[in-house]
Amino acid sequence: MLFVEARFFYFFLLVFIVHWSLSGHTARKLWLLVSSYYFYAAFFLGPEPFSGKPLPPGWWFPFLLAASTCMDYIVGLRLEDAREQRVRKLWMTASICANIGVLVYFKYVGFFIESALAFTAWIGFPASYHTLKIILPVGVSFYTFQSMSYTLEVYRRHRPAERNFLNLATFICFFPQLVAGPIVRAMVFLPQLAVPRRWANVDVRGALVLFMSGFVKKACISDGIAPFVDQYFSAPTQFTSLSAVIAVPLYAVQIYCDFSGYTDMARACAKLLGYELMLNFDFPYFSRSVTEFWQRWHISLSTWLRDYLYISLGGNRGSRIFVYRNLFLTMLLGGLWHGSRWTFVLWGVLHGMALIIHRAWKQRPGNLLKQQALEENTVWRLLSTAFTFYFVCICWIFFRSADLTKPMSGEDFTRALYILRAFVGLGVTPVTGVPLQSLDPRLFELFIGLALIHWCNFKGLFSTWWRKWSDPVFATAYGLCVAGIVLFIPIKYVPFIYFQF
Amino acid sequence: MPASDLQSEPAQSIASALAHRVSRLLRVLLLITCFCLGLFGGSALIERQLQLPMLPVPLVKEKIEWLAQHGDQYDTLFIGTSRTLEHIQPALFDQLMAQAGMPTHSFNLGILGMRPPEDSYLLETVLAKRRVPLKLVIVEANTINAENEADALGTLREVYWRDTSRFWVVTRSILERKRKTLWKTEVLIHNLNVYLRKTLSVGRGIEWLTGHLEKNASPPPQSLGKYSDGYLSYDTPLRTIKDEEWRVFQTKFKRNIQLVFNDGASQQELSKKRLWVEAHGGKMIAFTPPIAGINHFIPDPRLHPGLPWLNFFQPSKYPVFFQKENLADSGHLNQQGAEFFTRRLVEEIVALEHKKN
Repeated sequence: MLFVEARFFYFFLLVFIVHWSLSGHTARKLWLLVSSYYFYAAFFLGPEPFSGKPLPPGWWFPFLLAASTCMDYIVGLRLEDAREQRVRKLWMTASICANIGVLVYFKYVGFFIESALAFTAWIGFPASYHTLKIILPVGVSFYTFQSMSYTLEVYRRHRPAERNFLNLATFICFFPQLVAGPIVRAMVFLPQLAVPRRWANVDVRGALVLFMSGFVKKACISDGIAPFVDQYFSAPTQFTSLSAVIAVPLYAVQIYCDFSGYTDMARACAKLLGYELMLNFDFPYFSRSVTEFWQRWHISLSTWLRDYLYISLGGNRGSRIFVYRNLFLTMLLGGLWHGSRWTFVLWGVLHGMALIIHRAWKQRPGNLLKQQALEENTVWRLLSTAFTFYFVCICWIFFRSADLTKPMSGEDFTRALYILRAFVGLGVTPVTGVPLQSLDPRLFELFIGLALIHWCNFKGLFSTWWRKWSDPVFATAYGLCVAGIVLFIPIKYVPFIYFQF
Repeated sequence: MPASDLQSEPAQSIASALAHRVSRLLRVLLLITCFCLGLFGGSALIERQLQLPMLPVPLVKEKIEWLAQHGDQYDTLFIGTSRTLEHIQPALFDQLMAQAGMPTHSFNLGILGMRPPEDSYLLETVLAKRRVPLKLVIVEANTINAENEADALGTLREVYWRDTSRFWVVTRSILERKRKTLWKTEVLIHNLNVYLRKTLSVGRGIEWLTGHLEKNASPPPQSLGKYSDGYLSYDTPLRTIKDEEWRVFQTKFKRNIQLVFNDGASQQELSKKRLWVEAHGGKMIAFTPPIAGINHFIPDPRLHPGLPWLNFFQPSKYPVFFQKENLADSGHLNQQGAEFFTRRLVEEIVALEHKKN
């Protein structure tokens, strides 16, 4: 059930009405829990779960989610009750192994076997095996990280164990953020579940505008751009170099609009139910460095990696080389988190290296005042923003060039390198005899137009004026805006890109 | 404090709480009304101002556009499903009718899987642009299509015709059926979704924009046949039914054929079409094609007095339509069968005319 599908609107309307009609706080949470499991099950059971047809593979994934919740509940209590550090460590290790085990089994088993086979073939000992057909449960990377954050926080004594099972279960499977984040922290969300929600505190107008903005990003912009991007990335050798210069930034727009659009809608739904989810995107393409980019892009993942991986590895403590190693490993694993492809790993490696270079540049010896003056220079700021965006686009080439519908192969790299050459202006060597196609150059104008609108939003031009309107005026204007937006929804919905991670 | 005050206090608080709730409810209703006003009013305004292009439904678009330009040349229309599209050859029909002393120029408006109320939408659209009177409209009698065929689900094909009037027709038909509540609920929700897609012009802005950006953006129009009369199979190779399918076909028609007066909504749709045709000076003839489903719709004579109905679904009367060499598959005649059918159709129409005279 996608947020942009009509059936989600009916589902949400029902959840919303029943939620606020119930008077007891526990009853509301129970209702949210049931709704969340239904929402999750709908991904596997399709639109007609009670049609009497045989259950599709993956029907048991909601039970996996439930099992993971039960395990974390028990581990949390044991961690709190245990007095000996050794016992606590043991429980923590067991929990991490179980959570990571689920993730590894569903996401990486095939990847490791394929990589090992490729390696043995390369050294002259080819081997074969039956392809494993493991279906990836939607959102497994997100809810696993979320439940791990809970046990880690209890282990570090940052918060007490949750004794109310309903609260913990609702925290892990809260449907707005269940399948594609943001990765909510127990420390932030569990206290919200402990306090009864009040309708009077809900910023309905803000939530509605946020939902609309997410919907426009996903349904109109991302899905509208997707056919052009797919066309180019599926067969880059059939296109001119100029097409790469158009398609790669368009993909940057597509993935941003897709993912941040989803997050906006998730946050808006949560808001309407009285809960707050963390901001996940803060205009990342206006960053002036890769470091800043990671403070603005997928914030819930980057802060998770920082708090639970980077710091666990030693963080900023130790020698410079040690810190660089930590940065590199964090980004490498961050890349691997996105999927079991070497192109994702390379994407993480590129970002890790860029973070190291930027850190070294920031810590270069010299006059600090001069450095500050340079960073405040308008031309420098513009150039550094453009350069950061250019670098991020280069990394996206590796991210996008993996064809996730096919088994991993060297073709992914060949394709990525071909696009890279075209994008950086090194020219292309087209297949002889096939006339090259070209993406419509007006798509570049579209890109500029979208960038301008995004800049206006960055500057806060759309943020408050609609709050001054009276309610009936706002409702009418909202209806008018929806009437305009639906005109530009492509007939076929494209699933959210981040669902596959 | 007087005793009367003590008694009236709780009553007052209940009354004030009730008043508060009612005012909140009214406020919510007001806001919903405002939203709907903006939404549907805005949509109507946009459609009128931008003159959004017709949805690009293959064949339907071509036929509508062709008849918008050349419709007045034709005075006979055939309308129905693939059993109309593939069974009636207008060129042959015109020739035979001329030989019978009833000259006409006909057009096959059949579309694959087109049942009521889609056919009435198409007929209404085509008739709205006519300036000269009609002679004949030959309509395939069918039940309302409440559940779309799987290949039409989610496509523009199920959207383009679902205006407010057709939406209510389908809704009524669903409610009248003796089916499970779950089925009814699912189909009603689907009907509502598709209706909203049509009413709110979902996605049509993209068509409009593409049309403005690229003059030749739309795909090349589909051919309307060798004589541009809507029959597409003049030049296609002759197909015959496969042996396995033929065996299934034979067993299928060994069972009794049920003739059923179907639901009121379907009967009403037929009446509506008749009224339009007569308003355009024409005469409507309903027909049941040779190979329909086992349970098939027939017009109720009490509701359609004087409406000619030609039932070709009679293996004993028309054995030629049930012979292997005349079938393309278990549901359709091939070109040879279509030729036989067109001839029999003309004979029946001529016989009707003679009977009248």
